[in-house]
Amino acid sequence: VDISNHLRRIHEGDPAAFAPIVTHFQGPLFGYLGRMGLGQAAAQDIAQETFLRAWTQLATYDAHRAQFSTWLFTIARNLALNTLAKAQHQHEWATEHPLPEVPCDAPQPPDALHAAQRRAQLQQALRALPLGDRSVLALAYFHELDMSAIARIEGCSVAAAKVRLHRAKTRLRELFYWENAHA
Amino acid sequence: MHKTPPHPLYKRVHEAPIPPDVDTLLQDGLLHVPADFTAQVMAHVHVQAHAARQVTLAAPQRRWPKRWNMRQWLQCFALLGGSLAGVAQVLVFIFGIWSTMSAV
Repeated sequence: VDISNHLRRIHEGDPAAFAPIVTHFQGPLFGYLGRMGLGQAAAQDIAQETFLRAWTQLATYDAHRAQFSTWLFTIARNLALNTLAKAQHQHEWATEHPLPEVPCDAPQPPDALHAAQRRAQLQQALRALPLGDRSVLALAYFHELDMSAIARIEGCSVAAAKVRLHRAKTRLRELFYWENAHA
Repeated sequence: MHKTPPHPLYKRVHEAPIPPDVDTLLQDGLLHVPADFTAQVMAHVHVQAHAARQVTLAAPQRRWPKRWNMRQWLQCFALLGGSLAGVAQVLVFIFGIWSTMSAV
């Protein structure tokens, strides 16, 4: 997708040229938000807000300073961190008043059950990571971003971003090693 | 300097790869994109673009409010009173000097 061409069309007064940009980045953006440990509804709200902010602040985007993906993911990161910080404040209330667990009576195939369990395990493991490390790990899985772009989004040096990524991967390995060892 | 080799368990844990199914899950991103997501975003974008055009085309607003409330009137009277008091003070001062000079 030639982002610069679409941006030029938008500047010429064609809002419809924003649609291919949304289509191109929606998958990576949902991927990032999922790896940040957000649920489907929260991720959908943040993704929508990210694209709307990008649309309203498009005049401030400078292609000479950063790639469009770097700029877009910086917006998404800030929104995600705000949401997760708010959720952490509400966590104490939620743990004091847990919702009752209702078992599902419908039979599930073993493979689907295993996949769902594995997904839940991974989400739990991701939520156990510190926010900064989690964000670097989540960005690293989007291959359009190199380490310097990730460092720019995170507002740290490339070396610091590499350290955070290494720390996050090591922590995940540890968590899954012990999960498997106990299983 | 002699360096203690890491414990075999430490090596086993730290050098173990991330399980392939977990890696695939991370790659896929754990969430699904709703089918109509682009349409939802573009609906909001079109609304905002339309609103921006309306703001540009709208007639310029009146500079002064149509009706002042009590607070605004009081502020106006206080300012006017203060200004008049200041002017009166200056006039009294000038009259004082003039009367002194004329007496001499």
